[in-house]
Amino acid sequence: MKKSKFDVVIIGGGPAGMAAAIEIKKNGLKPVIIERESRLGGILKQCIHSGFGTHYFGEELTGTEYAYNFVKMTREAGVDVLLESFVISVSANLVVVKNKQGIINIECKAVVLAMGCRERTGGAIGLTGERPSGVWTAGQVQKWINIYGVVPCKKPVILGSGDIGLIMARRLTLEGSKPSMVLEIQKTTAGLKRNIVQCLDDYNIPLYLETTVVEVVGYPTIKGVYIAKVDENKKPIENTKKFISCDGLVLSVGLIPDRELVSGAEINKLTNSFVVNEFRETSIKNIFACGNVLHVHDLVDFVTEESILVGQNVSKSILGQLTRGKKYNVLPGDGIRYTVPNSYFSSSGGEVKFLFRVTREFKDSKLVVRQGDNVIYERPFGNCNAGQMEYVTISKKLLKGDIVISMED
Amino acid sequence: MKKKNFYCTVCPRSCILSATEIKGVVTVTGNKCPRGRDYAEKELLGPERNVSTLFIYKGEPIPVKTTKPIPVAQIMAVIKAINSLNIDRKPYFHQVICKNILNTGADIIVCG
Repeated sequence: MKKSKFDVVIIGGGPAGMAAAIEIKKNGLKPVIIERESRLGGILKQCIHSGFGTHYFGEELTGTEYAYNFVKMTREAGVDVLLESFVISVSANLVVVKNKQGIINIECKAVVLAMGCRERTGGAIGLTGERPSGVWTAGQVQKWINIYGVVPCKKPVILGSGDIGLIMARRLTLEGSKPSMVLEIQKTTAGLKRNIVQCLDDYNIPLYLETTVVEVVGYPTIKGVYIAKVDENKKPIENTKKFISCDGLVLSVGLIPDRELVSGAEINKLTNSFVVNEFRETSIKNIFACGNVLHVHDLVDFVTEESILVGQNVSKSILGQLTRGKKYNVLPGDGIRYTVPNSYFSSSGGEVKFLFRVTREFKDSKLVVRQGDNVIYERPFGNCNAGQMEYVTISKKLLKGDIVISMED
Repeated sequence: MKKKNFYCTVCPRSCILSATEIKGVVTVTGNKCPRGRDYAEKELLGPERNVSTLFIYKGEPIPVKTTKPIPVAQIMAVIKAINSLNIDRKPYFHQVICKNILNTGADIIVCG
């Protein structure tokens, strides 16, 4: 068993981990990135489509170009990296890692959690029927096509209109497949509007709302699925059941923050991830979180920004420059599904950036922040929907107690 | 006559636009700004997209993209042309593996 010492252990070498590491190194401290794959880059390695970097780099890049830029910066900053390495246990001052060299006990002063997400599978949505090969998650299909060059189906059905489902509808089409349809259980689409245009409309792939897959048919390989319309309670309407022949069912049904390594931290049921204060620090002192493991982002540029903030906060904490003070709660009100962070400190000066998602589509909306019965901040917010993460930055001068953030018409 | 309804993607407001062309005259409704009007006209008459795909070099997938948007109508032909390219050495990041593909004015550049 080996021993090692670093100022900060960063779990995950994707965009979140890399941005935090670079920032920590800039502050004169010693971070180490623990990454389970053989290369840095995280999920970006398989994102060959563009739409990344318009905020952070000021130009539209593919996911792979964004990753390339950050891997280069990480290397140039001299950040230590352990590849093909797995974290076995985490505490704020000790991270145990396992790799081909054996077990390494890494002593540290703080930890940054940047593990990202994994995908929900058929089991998570109660998919019934037979269990043949041919039922995959969208990210899995994306990895096979974009990393291994293997196209697993010719005529799939795609369940879920989140961005990854839409991106894969286009990807499969460009690789010679013919996705027959994208199904969405909700009344409105989940993904970015530009993806509806550029992934479905461009290729005449139909989208059926309020429809889901109720049964998988075929064994040992998939023959098709039964689809049906759903009612208000998302229950299938029996006489709308229809058989669709297909050679693949691609599931884009949600992401789960890969957070189980840290079992002692307080969890926010609304995000299924860590409760964090304004520094993005979990309920365990000096364990911070950023990127998709904290909440699922639509734009990697926001992940980078959040991770740079965490890098700064971790550094300040180690250098004794972080004032924690009296804590006030931040609660989601009407129209708001969740907020990050969940609390802020009463210390003077500066501002807090609150990220959130709304619960439904709003046209000409208004963001309202209340402290007790008083409205302390209000701002028109135009059109917004659950598929796009929004934010509001509020000066600490206005924040003096527990607040509730709401979105109203 | 041509008609199309779609979301505008110029800015995050995502206005729902409707564009109609009758005898060469294009009318656009639903836009809250002039950029939306221009976007709608282009989308109706000659939509263009940037394309990202894979170039397979000796069995290894290499991500590539177009350097500027190309007509939607030519996307599948461009994909086919990329798949037929012959490169003798493993391409490096941002290498141009094809100039002016199918006369679209766009080059094909390596992204990974």
